[in-house]
Amino acid sequence: MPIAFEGVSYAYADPERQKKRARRQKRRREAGVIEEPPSLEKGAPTWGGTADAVWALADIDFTLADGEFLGVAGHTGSGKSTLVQHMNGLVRPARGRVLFDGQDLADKRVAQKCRGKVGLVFQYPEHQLFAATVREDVAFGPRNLGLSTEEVERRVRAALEDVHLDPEEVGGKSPFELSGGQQRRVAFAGVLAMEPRVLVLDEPVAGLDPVAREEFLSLIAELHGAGRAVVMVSHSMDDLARLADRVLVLNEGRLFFLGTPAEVFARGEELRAIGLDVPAAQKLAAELREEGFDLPRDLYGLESLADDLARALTGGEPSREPKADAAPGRDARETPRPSGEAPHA
Amino acid sequence: MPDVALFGRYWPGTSPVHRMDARVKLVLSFVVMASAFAAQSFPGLLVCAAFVFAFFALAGIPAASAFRSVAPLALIVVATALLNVLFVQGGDVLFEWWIIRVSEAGLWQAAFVACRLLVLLLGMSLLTLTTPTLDITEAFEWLLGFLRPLGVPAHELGMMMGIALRFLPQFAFELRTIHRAQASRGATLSKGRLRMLSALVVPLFTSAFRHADTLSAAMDARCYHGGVGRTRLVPLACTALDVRGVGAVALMLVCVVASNLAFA
Repeated sequence: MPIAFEGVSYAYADPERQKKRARRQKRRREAGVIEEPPSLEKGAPTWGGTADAVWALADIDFTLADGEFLGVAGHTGSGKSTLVQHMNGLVRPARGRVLFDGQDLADKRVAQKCRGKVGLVFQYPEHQLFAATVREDVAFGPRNLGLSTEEVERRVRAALEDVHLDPEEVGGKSPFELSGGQQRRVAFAGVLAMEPRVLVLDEPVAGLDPVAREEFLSLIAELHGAGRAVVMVSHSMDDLARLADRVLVLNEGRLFFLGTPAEVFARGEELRAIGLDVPAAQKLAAELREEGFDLPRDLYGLESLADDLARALTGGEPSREPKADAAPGRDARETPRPSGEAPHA
Repeated sequence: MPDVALFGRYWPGTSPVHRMDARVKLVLSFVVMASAFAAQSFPGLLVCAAFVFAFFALAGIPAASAFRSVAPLALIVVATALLNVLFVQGGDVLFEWWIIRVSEAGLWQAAFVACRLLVLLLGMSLLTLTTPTLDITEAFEWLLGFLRPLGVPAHELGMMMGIALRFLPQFAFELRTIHRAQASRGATLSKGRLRMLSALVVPLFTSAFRHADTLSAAMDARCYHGGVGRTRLVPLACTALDVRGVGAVALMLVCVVASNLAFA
């Protein structure tokens, strides 16, 4: 178990002072010194955080297994980014602790060491490119690890090849000459060159066009297939259903639900209540089921839904696999795992 | 957006001080500053401080928040006080070592200068605490308007000030994100300082240019064409409240001068 969260809570400011501030705001509001915020019909929003919220994260408990693919979902401001920044000790919890291989990340030396093993890719990572050439930029991480020149060179080549860029062709270019999608690949390679065991991705496909998006997702699936554990924050339930072994749902800084995609996306109503949704295929399946279709699987992807619908409509034999071995969460995966890789539960 | 401590961040409210015209407040804050300088003795300064605190009370800003708003500038106060301790001599010598000599007069002078500076900063922060940046910008532009015949681009300067103020917290936030991203790649400030510095500054600059591009496009899209013929949705307007404000500050100036004369 590389990463374990034990009762982790986090507040942006000193919680005591925040509480005092909230009390003072309330007093001032009651005294009429400041106006009530202009409320929509119901006053407070039905989901999402309020500005007065004290805790950004509250009592988060979970363990990330070796080689697992964990999806993280939640509305804007639910604490997803804060959560993933705990995973390599960038942010230290106010309460509780985060363990990496059993060591507390609150210790600065442990945190520093773990940064070579937990690769964190921020949102829009291409905004952090800085070096004169692509090769230099990718080499930044390995150099910080204090590796030899040959080893750095080897890792830069390997990382660029991993993200399907030709080291010879782009290595000498300025990262700012490249297209947006390529820039993101370079930034990605910069983290991969650290050869992390755990890859933490904060909305890796945000702002990409559909083709680049697909390429990137299959790239992530490949990297996971090579044995790395992956944590991926995403707003796309379709992507999470397709790729993740487990999905962690955050709501207002609290762990709302943690389970396999099939378990999580069976709770369509609850997810909608906190500003999320279920994958499109799953939603269609639920609606068809209400119309009387016989759709037995727990989780549907586009292909599996098409198969079952074709069978139901023609009334014929199942076109592909029988439903007996339709293990939850497995069918929905359209991206096949590279062979030889055992699934993790 | 993070909690970046900034000098006099706007403190929302509906107090009389909040409702005053931004132009009047801007001018009056200069007068408050001038009266802090006019105070020649501790009693004068005490009168000055009493008025400033009364204004804070009127604005409904707790004393703790008032002091916190000037905390980032405390270094200046301390440095000025230290210089005074070292360079002003007179009266009994309390402490002497090498070239350092601390005298009674020096200590008094240091305490006086520190208090004066503190009152001055508090007076200035009252302006930014009770006035939205947009209004300050507008007031600033109005104040520079007298120079327009001389070819000073008042509106452009005001707009630049407004945009700079608007983007300060934004860049503080982005710098933190970039720092975290580079720290994730094993960078530390302690080793390889130069490389780390370029890894922080280059992305920050590209981001500044990116923001400038999008902002200018967004302003173009909303037909911004400079200050000529530009109107305001809520024009600044002087009211009876402002007259009372001017009266209060005038009273302050008179009291300070009177105390100077009385304790001279």
